[in-house]
Amino acid sequence: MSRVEDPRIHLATLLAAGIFAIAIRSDWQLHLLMLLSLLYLFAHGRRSQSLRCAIGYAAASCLLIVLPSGLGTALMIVYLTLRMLPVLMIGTLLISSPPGAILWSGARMRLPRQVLIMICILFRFSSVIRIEMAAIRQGIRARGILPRWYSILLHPAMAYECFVLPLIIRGLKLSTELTCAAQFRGVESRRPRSCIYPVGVRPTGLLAVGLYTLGACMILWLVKGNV
Amino acid sequence: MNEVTKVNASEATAHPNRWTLKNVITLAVFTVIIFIVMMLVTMATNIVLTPIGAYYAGPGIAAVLAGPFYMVLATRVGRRGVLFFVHLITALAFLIIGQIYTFGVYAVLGVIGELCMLGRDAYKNFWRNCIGFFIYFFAFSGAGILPMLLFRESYLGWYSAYSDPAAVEFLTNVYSSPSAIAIIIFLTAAGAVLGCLIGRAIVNRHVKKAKI
Repeated sequence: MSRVEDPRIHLATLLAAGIFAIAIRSDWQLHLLMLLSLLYLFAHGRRSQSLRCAIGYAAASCLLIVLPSGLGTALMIVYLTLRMLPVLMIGTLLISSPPGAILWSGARMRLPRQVLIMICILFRFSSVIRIEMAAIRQGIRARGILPRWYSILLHPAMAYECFVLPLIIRGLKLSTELTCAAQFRGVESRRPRSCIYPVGVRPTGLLAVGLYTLGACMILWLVKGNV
Repeated sequence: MNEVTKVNASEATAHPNRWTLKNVITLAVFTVIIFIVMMLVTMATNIVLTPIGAYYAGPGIAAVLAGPFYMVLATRVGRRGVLFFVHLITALAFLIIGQIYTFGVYAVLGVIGELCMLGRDAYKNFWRNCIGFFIYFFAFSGAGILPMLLFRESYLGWYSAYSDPAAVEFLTNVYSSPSAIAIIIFLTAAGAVLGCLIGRAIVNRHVKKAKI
């Protein structure tokens, strides 16, 4: 079984990225921080994802230049997304860690069990909900209820009912299914947790966090006018 | 009734305030849904009704759409701490996207909200749930109002880093006007009550009958 990066390494990088994303002030710093996050993603074998993120970042940057300044808050959303993309990219790495590895490293950090379960469900479900929403939309289309994209605007109450009700029922069913799966896998066990994946803090992981933090410090130092 | 449901039901009867695994998972699942609905509605109102939609109607519309999910969550879990944990998870989600002030407002209002829900069977009372849900959405709309009132200079400094001067000026005008704040609170309260009413109807007409 291939080795999985310890989620604690991603968590440390995420915290560093979050602090630096808040601390930076100029666009150049943002571009450099984005480059650093792309390199981190690339180093963890996420080549296609890093390419997609780079394209998305470039497109959003162009959008920010093209959009008129009168758009106000819509412009702010684009800017905020752009600004938080370096952090979100690291966040996706943490979210995509196997739940077993997250539980194992969380237990090592002595986090309460209930909190750990909640975190795992949040990570697990946030990726599932998009699929669930798409399935509900397909179901509505298949039944010919809202056949065109503008049908939602013509019948907003029906669209609301057709979307909210299945999502509630699906959410309740999913929580039951996830509970059964978690209990079956022994999530409530009080014994020391083991992990099927070969996880653990390695020197390469520590080096990645160190280089990321060092790079971000240099970005802050460089654009403060020191060079 | 399967074995897991039987065990959970017997645990719930023996310890009415103890959180079972199913409660924790239901809370996490529904908070994710509420957060996603909130974000989608905010983005849509920002684009369609900009800039008024973002400040005035946004939280109210989001409350109407997210109300049913909250009502189902409150009815199904109904344990002490539901409102606080919904606030806490949302606060953490906002922290991840860099909204430090929103995180602080959610954390503080989460404690206040949970204090409002003290008492036996508070989560079974419709009006108490309305108050709790209003506090949750007041945290969303108040994430701009409260820091502006409490530490104006540092908040504007932080906001300026994220936005253009025109948006900062608009934000200052809206959150400095008592009438604008009153309208925002009124629309949020109306949205929360309407959302809870729809939620109660859905719970009574569909969820209870489905027996999931």
